[in-house]
Amino acid sequence: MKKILLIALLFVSGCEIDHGLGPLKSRITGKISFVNENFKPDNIDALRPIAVTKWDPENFSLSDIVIANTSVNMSKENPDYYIPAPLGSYELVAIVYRKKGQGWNYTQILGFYGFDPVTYTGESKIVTLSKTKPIAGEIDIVCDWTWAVGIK
Amino acid sequence: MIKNCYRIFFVLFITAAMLNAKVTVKISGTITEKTSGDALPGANVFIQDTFLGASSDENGFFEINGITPGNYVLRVSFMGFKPVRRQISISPDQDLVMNFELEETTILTEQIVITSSRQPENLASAAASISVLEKSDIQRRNSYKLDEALLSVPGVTLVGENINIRGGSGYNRLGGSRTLVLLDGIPILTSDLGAVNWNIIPVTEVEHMEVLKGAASSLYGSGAISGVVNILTKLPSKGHSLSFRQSSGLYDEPSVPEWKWTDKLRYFHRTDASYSNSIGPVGMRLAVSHHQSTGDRENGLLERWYYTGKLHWQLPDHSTLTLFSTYSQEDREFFLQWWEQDHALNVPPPERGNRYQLDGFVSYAVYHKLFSPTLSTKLRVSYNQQLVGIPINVANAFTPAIGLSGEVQINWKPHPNHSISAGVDYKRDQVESLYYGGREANGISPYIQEIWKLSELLQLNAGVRLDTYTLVGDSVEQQISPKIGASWQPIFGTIFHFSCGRAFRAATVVERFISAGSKDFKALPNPTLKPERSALFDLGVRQNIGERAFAEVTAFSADYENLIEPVLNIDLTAQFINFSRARIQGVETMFRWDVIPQYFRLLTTATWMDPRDIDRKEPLLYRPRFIGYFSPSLSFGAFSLEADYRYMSRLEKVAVFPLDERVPTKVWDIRLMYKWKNYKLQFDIRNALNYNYTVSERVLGEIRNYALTLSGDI
Repeated sequence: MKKILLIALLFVSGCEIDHGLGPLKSRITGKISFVNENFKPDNIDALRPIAVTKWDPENFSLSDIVIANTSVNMSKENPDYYIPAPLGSYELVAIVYRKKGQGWNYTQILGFYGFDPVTYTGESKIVTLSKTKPIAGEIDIVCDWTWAVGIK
Repeated sequence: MIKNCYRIFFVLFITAAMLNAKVTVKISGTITEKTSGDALPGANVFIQDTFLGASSDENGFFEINGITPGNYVLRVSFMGFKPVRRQISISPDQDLVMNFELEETTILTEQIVITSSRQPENLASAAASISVLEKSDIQRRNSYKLDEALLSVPGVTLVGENINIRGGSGYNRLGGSRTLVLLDGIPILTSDLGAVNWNIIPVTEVEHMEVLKGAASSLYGSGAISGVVNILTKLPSKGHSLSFRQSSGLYDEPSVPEWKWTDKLRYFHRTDASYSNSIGPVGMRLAVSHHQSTGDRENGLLERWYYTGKLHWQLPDHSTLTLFSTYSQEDREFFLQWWEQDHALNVPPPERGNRYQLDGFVSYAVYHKLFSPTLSTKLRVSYNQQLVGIPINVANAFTPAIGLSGEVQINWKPHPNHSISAGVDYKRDQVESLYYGGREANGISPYIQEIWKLSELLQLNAGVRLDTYTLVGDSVEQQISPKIGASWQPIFGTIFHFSCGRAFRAATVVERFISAGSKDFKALPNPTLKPERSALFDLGVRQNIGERAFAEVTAFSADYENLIEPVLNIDLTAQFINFSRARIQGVETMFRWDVIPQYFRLLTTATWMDPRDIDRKEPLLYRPRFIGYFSPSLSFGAFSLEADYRYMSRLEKVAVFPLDERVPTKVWDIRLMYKWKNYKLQFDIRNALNYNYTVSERVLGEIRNYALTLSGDI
């Protein structure tokens, strides 16, 4: 009987307790910079970073988006941002805006990772979070205020 | 219209009461447990082939009135106990006193249920799939919410606050329930959302719950699309009875150190008390409960009060009149979703302190008249008023939704092998809100159901109901819901059962007309929504295994058309739409084993399901593939040690945050109990391994907590 108890005790002590969900270790972080500040509209209420797994501007689905729950601090010149995101590849990392009195519309993009404001060119760059590299840093995004007023 | 209905009911009441009584006698006595001598409340005493019967009260006392002289078979039964049958001979003017001692057993026994055919029926031979959750099961688990108490029933699980019978409901925060919930046989879904207020009555006032699985619209109409939960409340006792339960506890620290968000103690108190007595022919029962909690998370504050009263009047002509009212009020903060997974016990900062109130009031009067041992009638009127407690009501834009209903039912046994129930249900809904305006609706629904015993071993059931639902100034819907079933006992201890039928759920006012919005979200109306329909089939076997084990295996298949589900668009507008076709097939099992009689018992249930969206060829939203439950219990004299393990596989598909990490539910609850005379001291550890899982998207299940409970009957 003692042997059985001892074996049971060893077995139990050797087991790891499964605690299920834990903190999300993977994330995308970076800095935001703004261009064309003089075009900044008064009716912009908030900015939020998003990461999109499959980016197709014609067929954009909510189920492909990871949305940060924290808005970007617009009063700073170069605010930091981060998106807690599961491991995987993201075809678009972007900042979206919301107009005062309106709801979020995730097609209202103010800037994305890969955009070059000098040459005014760029394609969205893929960001990958893997087990070996769960944090993608320096994913800096340039936002152009003219996009919010529909000039360009 | 309402006045006319009340007049009709009043005339029927008076007419029935004026009928003269014949010379009759009564049988009374007590029912106790053989080994301990403890009273067995809720046991059934029935006279075979008649509608004469009663349930024992808190003290085990029963009384059957209105028995005409003659020879009868008296049957005494209770779930988990061997039934007793006695031949009795009734002489004129000679009341009988009979006491019964019942012996515990694990095998399938006789148990009277009323939900499966709207008349008393033996559970073992019922054609429908039905499970019973006894008061003792609810008490042992120290449940304080009715939906949690149901988790030990095979095939039942919770997704968010939605009860799922065989995966029928999924998760639908603002949509109507696909499980109809009854309180003493009376529908209590809210008239606007078609939702369930599980906190309408304290768990301590529940005698037992019956869970009918599968299509049940042939008996209960709209809403019973995947099943019915009937909450049956306690009857007043013959003598004084004062019961109480005091439970206090603490929440542990989260298992993830980063989630700790406060240094303050998180705790809860729950107090329940009831008093029952009878004065002459009138029995009464009063109960009050107060539950208070800080919650285990930010925005977790909760305070809830319940007040319940029941009067049961034995009228001189052997008819009975029951009056019941329950009122509950809840004031709570609201946790819609976590801030982020690194702060899973916090809400987003703008939502801090969001709170709402939920009020519910249900009242009914039921008059039972026994014209003869084989003919009885029931008349019922009820009032259901609920103020929704959803977050969009932060702006207090709703007024309470009011539901009025009435029913006339006749039960008739024209022959010992035929038993017929027929009746008419009437309902009227009145709702008003800034979000959908004022709406009124009326429904009238005749139904008929027969149980035909072809022999002692073979029984057939058939029924049909016609529902007509008129939304004033808008539309008229008509639905016919048929159902058939059979049970067959080829050898003693083996019963096969099957049932199939159609059911429906009309779109609720909220699903059709809601037009509401905030900065982050906008709900759009869809007045053209069609009713959901289902066709369900199940086939099962109930099997005694020796003298100490019992198993039940049921295969089921449910086809759904026009399922009403919300869709969320890219511009964050949402709308309820009809999905075309879905199918859920599966197998449900249950196994009960008395391993060492009186010392060691096991209960295990397992349900496998394949929930498919047929047109899209993908899994249905918010349905698990597997749910399981395992409960061993050990007893040593006055001490008992029990555990419950609940498992639900990871939801394969969700709508709002599909990229979020999802895990299966794996929760252990452990309890130690000590019983002394009529008192019980219990120590509970819930979520003993402090396992973290989500009950709905971005909402964690309760973290580990400890509770000490003292309960008793004075």
